[in-house]
Formats: sequence, structure tokens, C-alpha cells
Amino acid sequence: MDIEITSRPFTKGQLRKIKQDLRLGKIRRFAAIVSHQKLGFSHNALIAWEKSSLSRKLANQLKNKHYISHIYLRAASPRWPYGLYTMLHARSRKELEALIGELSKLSGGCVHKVLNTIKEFKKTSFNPRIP
Amino acid sequence: MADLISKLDELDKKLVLLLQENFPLVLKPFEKLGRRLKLSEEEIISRIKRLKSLGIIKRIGPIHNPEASGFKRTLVGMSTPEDKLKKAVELINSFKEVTHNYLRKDDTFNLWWTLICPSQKRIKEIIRTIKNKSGIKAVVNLPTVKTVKIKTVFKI
Repeated sequence: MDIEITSRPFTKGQLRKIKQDLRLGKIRRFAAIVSHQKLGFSHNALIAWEKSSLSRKLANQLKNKHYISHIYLRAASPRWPYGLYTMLHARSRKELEALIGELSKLSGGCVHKVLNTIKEFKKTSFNPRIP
Repeated sequence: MADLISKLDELDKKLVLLLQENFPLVLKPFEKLGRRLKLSEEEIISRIKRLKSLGIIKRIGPIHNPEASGFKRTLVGMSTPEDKLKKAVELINSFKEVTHNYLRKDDTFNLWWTLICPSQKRIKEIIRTIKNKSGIKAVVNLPTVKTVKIKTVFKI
């Protein structure tokens, strides 16, 4: 859904439904999605950390970093022992390296792999009505 | 691309930040945004229209939480040789359950895509189909155990 940019983009009924879905947790947020590339965030990387759990303290520290957009814990596999994933966005290679350094220190020098984004082939929003 | 920023003034930048945080859920949201930025409703509307035409704002709408409706997420890494890349990307992107697909720098797995499906069974089915049709067997499936953060607010 993309609202119309007019004075009254919602009906009362739509507003009620959106607020209800927010309360029920079906919707995380209602906000603008921007193109990070167009805003100058040209250096992006997925960092995979060799960690299977996350302490509350570290989770909160990571959550507070505005340059991290996504944090997931995943089931690792023996050939790929990385359980924690963070998506980082930076404006330059130098900035990205500094951010990775900061996180590495925060994590206590945890072993990690940097998966730099080379090309975006698909990026869509999840829509529960499609599947 | 980066020089698009130079086309934005301080008010545009504030507006982009505000809009990413939370959109006012009221009958006249642009009027409300205007009060916060001390601009008229018309001014806010024309600025947002411009930000959309520049491609900076992609959309304004709900960010769904698939887990709340029972959906499962996973990230898949695939070791894709250069000569098979184009076909593999076409195949992977043809599934509507694939939400993201990126080429990344790594010597083990270079193609990374995400799936959101109603069940783990469907996830496995799609991965199996993609493996069979692409002939690429080196694949790692990393199901989400916990979503710790999804929030993208780009500060400019």
C-alpha cells in the first residue's frame, strides 16, 4: 500500500483498521520507505557473526545503532557457523569499515564475515495478501 | 546518485526523517506534519510529491509483520558460478515469496535471498525447486530464529 499524497489520504474506516493492525502487531509501523541508495548510502554489507545467542545487553546496544537496519538470529549450520546477522549501511567504504570495527569491539572480537553488497536484484515489501 | 542529497534543503531532510519514523495516523496527516515543521499543508504535500518523484521516498504505507500472521522467514545463501548467475537470478526472482535478492562478495556463498512463506514446508519446497532447476547444489538455508530489529531510519 502506498497512500495518496492528498489532503485526506485515509477514510475513517481505513484509519481504524491501520490502528487496529498496529495494536495487534500485524503492522510493525506505518511510515515512509526510502531508497537508501538515493540518500547516498552506497556501501552496504551484511555481517554474519559466529554467535548463536545474543545477551540482552548486546541486543540493546546493537538495536540502538541507527546504521544497523536489520538484526536476526538464525539457525546456523556446520558448514556455515554464523548465527547472528546484521545489515549495515554507510556512505563510504571507510565509514563502513569504521562501523564494522565498532561492532567488532562491542561483540568482544567475535569472529565474523563481511558480505558486501555488490548488486541488488530484488527488493520488495512483504504483503500478506499476495501469497 | 549521492548528489541527490544536494537537491534537498534542511526542511526536506527533516521531513524525510520524520516520515521514516512514523506517519501521523489522522484524517489530515500533512496538515499535522506541517504544524511540526511550521509549513503549510500544501507545502508539505508538494515537498513529499517532489521527494517521491526524485525516487527518495519509495512509498508511504504499512510495514507488515509477517510473523504475526504465522509466516516464516529465512535467508538463503547460494554458491552461484558467474555463468549461471543470470538464469539463477531470473528463476529466484520469479517466486513472489522471494522478497530480497542480492549479489554479495564472498568466496563461499555469493547470492543471498530471503523468503517469507506461510510454512517451513513451502520454504523447503521452493529451495528444492530452485536447486533442481538451476543445477546449483551448494546452498545454505538459515531460518530466522528471532527477529531482533527491523527498522530502517536513514539519517541524512
